[in-house]
Amino acid sequence: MALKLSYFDIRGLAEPIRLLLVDKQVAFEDHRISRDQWAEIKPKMIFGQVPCLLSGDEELVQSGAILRHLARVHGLNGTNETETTFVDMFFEGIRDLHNKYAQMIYGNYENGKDAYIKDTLPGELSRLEKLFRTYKNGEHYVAGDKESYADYVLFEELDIHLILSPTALDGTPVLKKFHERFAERPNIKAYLNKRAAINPPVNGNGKQ
Amino acid sequence: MAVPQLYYFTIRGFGEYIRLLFLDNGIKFEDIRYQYGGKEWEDVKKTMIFGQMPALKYDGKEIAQTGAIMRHLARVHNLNGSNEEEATFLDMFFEGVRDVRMKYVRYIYYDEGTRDDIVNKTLPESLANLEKLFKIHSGDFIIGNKVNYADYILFEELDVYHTLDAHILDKFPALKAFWERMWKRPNLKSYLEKRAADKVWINAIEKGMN
Repeated sequence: MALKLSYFDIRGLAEPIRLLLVDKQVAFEDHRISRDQWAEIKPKMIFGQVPCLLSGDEELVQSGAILRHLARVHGLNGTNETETTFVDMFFEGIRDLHNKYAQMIYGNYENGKDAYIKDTLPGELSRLEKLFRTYKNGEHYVAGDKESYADYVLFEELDIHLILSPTALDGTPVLKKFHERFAERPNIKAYLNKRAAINPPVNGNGKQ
Repeated sequence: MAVPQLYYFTIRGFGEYIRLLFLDNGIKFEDIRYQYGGKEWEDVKKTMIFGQMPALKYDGKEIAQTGAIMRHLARVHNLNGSNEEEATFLDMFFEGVRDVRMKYVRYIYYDEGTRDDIVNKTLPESLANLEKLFKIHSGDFIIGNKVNYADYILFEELDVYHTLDAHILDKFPALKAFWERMWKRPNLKSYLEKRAADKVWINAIEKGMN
């Protein structure tokens, strides 16, 4: 079924979805909305928001719902109920961190960036690292041997924090290794190389 | 299976969706409640995965994060739709309602916007979207005539907004009828009546109770 992912020309909330599709070699149209187009598209969206994934004639919105749908369809949702729940919990934990990040980026970048890096981030990351070590001591993926949708979200979250602060992961070596490992996946690596040449902004306001 | 223990504060908050799901489906659970900001919670907090509640514990498992708990219970108790399309629709609905709650939370705790903004603009705009989405599948609930996990978050949110302003649902007949219907569910009715009589706070502060 033809897939069309609509989002702004930034990484933002769509990038984990793009990474998942790229890594799994699922063909999709990467529709990037310009500022002019958005005024026209916004009223047509269910919640007035993107990302939106058009799958055949089915219109899916909400990044979490889109990711979990793709996870179920492409075998990225854990191999049993315990793993599925764990992956979901991990995803929600990353989202909490991302909300704090977004609050700083969009609300208080100039005055809040340093405090965020120094006071907020280390505790958040070490909690995630501890949870990440639940399966196989964190040597593979969030849920152990097999990748899941939360891995794409985790990778992107770590990646944007390295942009914010190149030393962000120095206190969490297991997460740092995961980030390095994941970037070497052939399909991801090719995509990252291509992306680096274009260098799209991470966030809508250009701060990162 | 051991009786699940739900850890949350004494308030309704995010724990209430889970309580309603348990109650309505006649699933036994232990409703463990801590005083917000109390000494007891300070100790328990350190043991929680993200230092947060709600948390659900049973059979030696610990699940954190409201969304993950709800979706887990949905899969286990057949409240997750009957196929992939329905499961995705419910998830989308759940996430959309959650976004509305976050706007409400910002008003309650961070004084973002005035009461007039939230009651006459922010909430009605969001409710209009939800009304449209609710009507996609005809029937008593989000999807047809079978209750699913997202119905509990929708109902609780409608009740929370109705508590803020008794006329807020008047312009959304489908949502209002759904809200009234849920109030009459046999397993919920007496719980909801007692909750209202006891004036159980929705939030950690009294704001939102008028």
